Formats: sequence, structure tokens, C-alpha cells
Amino acid sequence: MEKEIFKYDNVTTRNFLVATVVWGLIAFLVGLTAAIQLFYPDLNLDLPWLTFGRLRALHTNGAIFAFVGNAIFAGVYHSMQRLLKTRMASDVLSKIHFIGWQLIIVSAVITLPMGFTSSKEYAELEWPIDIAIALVWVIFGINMFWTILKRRERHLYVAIWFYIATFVTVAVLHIVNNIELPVSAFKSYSVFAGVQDALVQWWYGHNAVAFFLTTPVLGLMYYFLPKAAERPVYSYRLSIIHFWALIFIYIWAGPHHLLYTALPDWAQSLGTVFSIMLIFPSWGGMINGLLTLRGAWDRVRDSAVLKFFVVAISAYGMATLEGPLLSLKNLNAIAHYTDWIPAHVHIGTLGWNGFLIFGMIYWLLPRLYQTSLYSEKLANWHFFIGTLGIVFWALPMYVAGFTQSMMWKQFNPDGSLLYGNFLETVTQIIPMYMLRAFGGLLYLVGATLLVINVVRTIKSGSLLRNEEASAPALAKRYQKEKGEYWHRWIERRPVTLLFWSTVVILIGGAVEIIPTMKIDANVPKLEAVKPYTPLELAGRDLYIREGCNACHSQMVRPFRSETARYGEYSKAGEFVYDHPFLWGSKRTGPDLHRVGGKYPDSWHYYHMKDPTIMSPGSIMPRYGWLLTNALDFESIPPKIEAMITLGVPYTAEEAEHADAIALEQAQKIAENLNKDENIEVLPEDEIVALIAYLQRLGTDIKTVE
Amino acid sequence: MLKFIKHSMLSMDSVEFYPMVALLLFGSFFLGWLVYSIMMPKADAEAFSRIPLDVTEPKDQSHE
Repeated sequence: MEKEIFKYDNVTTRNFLVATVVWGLIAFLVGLTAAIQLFYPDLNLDLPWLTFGRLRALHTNGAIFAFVGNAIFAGVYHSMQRLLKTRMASDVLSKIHFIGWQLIIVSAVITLPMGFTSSKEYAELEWPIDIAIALVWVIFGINMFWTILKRRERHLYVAIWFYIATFVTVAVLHIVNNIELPVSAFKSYSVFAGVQDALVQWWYGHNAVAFFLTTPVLGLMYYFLPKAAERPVYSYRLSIIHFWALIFIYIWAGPHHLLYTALPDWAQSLGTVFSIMLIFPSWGGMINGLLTLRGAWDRVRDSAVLKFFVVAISAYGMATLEGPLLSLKNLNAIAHYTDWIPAHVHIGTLGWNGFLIFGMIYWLLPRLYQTSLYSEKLANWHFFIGTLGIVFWALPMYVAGFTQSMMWKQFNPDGSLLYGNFLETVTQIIPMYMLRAFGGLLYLVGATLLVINVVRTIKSGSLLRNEEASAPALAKRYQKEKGEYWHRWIERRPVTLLFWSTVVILIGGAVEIIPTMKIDANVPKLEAVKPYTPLELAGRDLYIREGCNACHSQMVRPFRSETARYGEYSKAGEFVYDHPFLWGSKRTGPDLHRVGGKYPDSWHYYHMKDPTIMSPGSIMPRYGWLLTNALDFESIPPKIEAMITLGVPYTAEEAEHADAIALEQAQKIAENLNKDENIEVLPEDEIVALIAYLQRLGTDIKTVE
Repeated sequence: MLKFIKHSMLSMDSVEFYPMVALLLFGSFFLGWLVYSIMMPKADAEAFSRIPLDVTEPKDQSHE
């Protein structure tokens, strides 16, 4: 058959690749800054936008969506054209996709430090940006499917399946988890509340790991590993089973983030069971990756690219064994809320994502620039320093997590807590925080070597903007080959593949989320639980703005060690008016669900002014600006109205006079505070609203008792 | 929490039928893909796995 001549677009790939390197460096730097703040809080220079609560979201979003995101797109744009033997369908859409994605990242860099956040982990960006993400994602999808439809290769290689599953699942997750009611240009409330919101969030959060940090990266592995090793993937059959099993099972596993919380038990159990099953498809992928190198292991010694790939795939194997184990309730009871979880996560992100991406960059860049890598030696140095960085990052955090968890649970013979002061369990692990930051520094140094290599390689070559290739066109009508097996049916039908992968990923989410929403028995109502007062609601929004939930949970688990420390364990019915939920996932500081009434108002005032006044040695930042900033009372009535729309039972009068009601409560608190001769506070100060909220936390149940 | 659901479950006729069907459906999904991949002819599997390696090499290179 006559061959058609066409050209691959290398410019878009190059653009995404450069963006990966630039944003990666920034994300690592922000991460390092946040890590240092955990033992040297003064590093925030007392500036609101540099505090840990705000920087943490910037770091996670930067690492996930800017660093890994751009790398995925670079890899997809490069591999898809070659696997389908066609140029991307539309250069214009490619351009819009690239520019749109970078603008979204820039808007995140601006808004997150400013405190515009919805508080949901990895989905912190506010509603206008959420809409932009959805639009750009759809543009990417259109470009991808259009390209698939005009392909010259009948069979869709397994990497393409992973890209398709990624596209559809991320779209579903992003849209459902970000259904929110806007109150102003940069403020919205989740339409879900409490337990439901928690379930939707962690269905999203876990599957952001699954379908943003795993499936597309597996797609990249299935393309770039065979290319770099110059041998086909170990087992194509295994890749088929592993693909379908992975996307089917992954979507169910979200509730393992909520073990021992107020989430209904049946949902927790489902999350655990499916997490355990996940070992099989995950390891299927790992084994397929590692065995692709069979007979080529000698080349690993000489090739930095293969070294990065081997460690990446090994890290994937470790993280995907550890994840299911952490989903067992007994192990989760120890690890949850501690530094063990960030350690687990960073084996995945630094090892699996980071190293696979670095390997891909080192392999791809010289080919785009028709030259050889500036320095293989430097790449090897990057590999060794980066690997040490991962070890120094993760090991101290495992020790820290285990140590702290054990300290939380230790009792004196008389039944009281051995470490009754939470701070003792924090100061104990500060040396580990220092070692972790050193690990982060090493990783950043490694990435700097990458930058040098990238810049020098680019300078030494010239970009092959349009790479000529040829392939015969596909016959308009597909003629079945004689004796062809039925399995080819789905592998040449992208739309059918899209449909069935959508069905497969929707089942798990639907089975878990719909009953939790629809069956009242899942969230038993508590008569004593009332909506927040207008001032408390305003204070809650300050709590969200400052990212307090990055370090403080609001979920007392039903353990003796927790009820002894915090009070009555948390009930599902207590959160029915929480739009969004604020359970948190990490206790760098103590749980706050029962903090209401525990300390006088003045304690909170001093603690916010400088935490070390009340808790010497505390690593919490100072929040001086809360003492001087004026609360925007005019913004309160629309917030109450939004809450009414969401079904929170405020009266019409409360909505209409919300600002006056808030001011009245603020005056009482301010009056109480001003009794202390060292305190001078106005009712309008933000600190008053925050204190109102903190003093309310968990008290509905306390009142009953 | 199961106690809230258990009651309505117990009142259903032949309720044991449903988990059995669910388990069979669940198992058959994986079994189906297993059969699918085992039945794939070796030559096809090998050909597909070589797709990334069979890239047409660039002929004419237009420089920046």
C-alpha cells in the first residue's frame, strides 16, 4: 500500500517538557520551604502568603498538576503521534491546551497563597479556575480523540488505553468533586456536606493519585521503557488484564482515607477490600515494567535513563504494596494522621512520578533537539543524589510517624496519657523533620543538575520542529483478516473503549456515593446539632483561608487514646452543616473537633498572636494579621443565603440580618477578651470570628452530655 | 451502621440471591479479561507489543 508522508509536531512536546522542568523546580522549592518551616517556622517571615497552611496546597498542586501534569502532556503528545502514526489532529487545540494549562498554574500560584481555597485536598482551587480546568481538559480530550480517529495504526497500543481512561476519569472526578455554590468571585461552598463531602473528596483524592499520578504515567512507562530498553514490553497479555483490573478496582478504594472516621462502616470496609485487591493489578504493572528489561540489565549500568526507570518502577511497586497494607484498619490506626502517610506518598511522587519523568526527559530531549545529552555523567549524578534524596526524605518520616503515633497511644499505669501534651510528641520528631528537609534539598539539587543538562543540551542542538514520517493510510472500511480473533474488536474501537472504561470507573463511585447520599440511616440526625452562627461561619471561612486543616484534623476516632486526649469521638450527625467538611488528613498539631470551650477566649487570642506564648516550643506559625485585619461583615449575609440554598436551616431573618447578628456576637466576645488588660481587640477584628468558630467546635454534643 | 440496613435486607425475599449474583458478576469481569488475553494469538500479542518500536524513522529533517 502506498505510504503517506506526514509530520509529527515536536513543538508542543518541547513546550510541555520545558514547562515540566520549570514548574518542577518551583514545586520542589516550595516543598522544601514548607518542610523547613516545620522546624523553623520563622521562615515564613510572618507573611500570610508564606505560611505553611497556604504553601502546602501550593506545593501539592504544583507537584501534581504543574510538574507531573506537564510531563504527562509532553509524553502523551510525543508518544500518541508515534503510536497512532499521525500528527496531532489540531495544532491550534494543542496550543490552546498548552497555554491554558500554564495560565491555570499561574492562577494557582497567585490565588493559593492569597488564601483563596475550597480546602479540599488537591482540589483547593476556587470555582472560576475549576471551570477553566474542565474546559482545558475537554480541549485536550477533543484533540486526543480527534487524533485517534484519524490514526494510521489500526490497533490502539496499551499506552493509549491508559490515556483514554485518564481523560475520562479525571473529567468525572474533577467535575463531581468541584460541584460548589459560588458566593463571590473567589469563594464557594461545596454542595456536599460532612460525611458525604468527605466521601466525595476522598473518592476524588484517592483517584487523583490513581488517574493522574498512576494511569497516565503507566501509559508513559509502556511507551518510553520499551523505547529506552529497545525491546518490547514483557507481556502484552498482562498489560490487558492489568489495565482493566486497575481501572475497575482503583475507583473503589477512596474510603481507605476515612477509616475509623464517621463514614459508615460498610463504605470503610469496601474501601479496605478493594485496596487489598489493588495489589494484583498494580504489581502486574510493576512486573511487566521490570521484566521488560530482561536481558538488558547490563545496559542499566551505563544508562542514566534506565537507572531512573528501574528505581521509578521499584518505587511504584513499593508504594502500591504499602498502600493496601495501610488500608488495613489495624495498620491504618497507627499510620493515619502521622508523617507515615507523607512518607508513603513521597515514595510514589518522588520515586515513581519524579524518576519516571526525569528518565523520560533525558531520553526525549536529545531526540527533539537532534543531539546527544550534554552530560550522561551529570545525569548519573542526578540519579544518585535524587535517590539519596528520596531515602533521606522517606526514612525519617517513617520513623517520625511511628514514633509519634506510639506516643499518642501511651498510657500511665493510672490510665492517664503518658504524653498528655500533644506538643511533646511534636518536639520529639523535630530532628526527623530536619532530616526530611535535607532529603528534599538533595532532591532539589538533583533537579538543578537536570536543569543544567537540559539547558546545555538545548543549546547544543536545534529543535526538530516537524519530524517527517510515513505510513500507509488505514482502509476506510476495516476488512477482517482471515482467522482473526474476536479480541481485536475493542482494541480498534476507541469510542467503544472510552464507553466501557467510563462504565467500569463509574460503578465503584456510584455504589459507594449514592447510598451515602440517599439513605438517611447512613448519617443519623442529631437533634442537638444546629447550624453555625453567622459569626462562626465567617470564622470557619478564615480557618479555611489559612489552611488550618493542613495540620489539624477535626475527627476524633473511637479509640481510648483519642477520647482521653480530645473527648467524645466524632459522630456523622455532627457534620451535617459542614460545607465543606474539614476533617483534615494530618495531625501536625492536635485534633480540634472538641476544642470548643477547652480554653478561654484569651488563650486563643494569645495563641494566634504567638503560639509559643501558650505552648513554648510550638512550631505553629504566628497569625498576627488576624489581630489587625477587619472582618468583612457585608460578606456574611450572602454566605448565609448560600447555606440556605444548600439546605442549611437558617431562618429568613437570620439571612437578612446576618451581619448585625454576627456583630452582636462579636461584641460579646470582644468585651470578654478586653477584660484581659494586655488585650485590646475590636469586635470587627478577624480574630474574634475565628475564636467564635473555635469555641463552637464540637460543643453541640458536649451540651447534650 | 450496618444495623440500619440489615433490617430492610432481612425483610426481602430470597435476599441471598443478590450478593451471589454480585460476586459472580464481579468475578466474571476478571475471568473475562483473563480468557480474552489468553486466547489472544501469540503472533498478535508480539506484533502489538512491538508497536512503539516500529516507528518510522525521520527522513527529511526541517531544522529550526
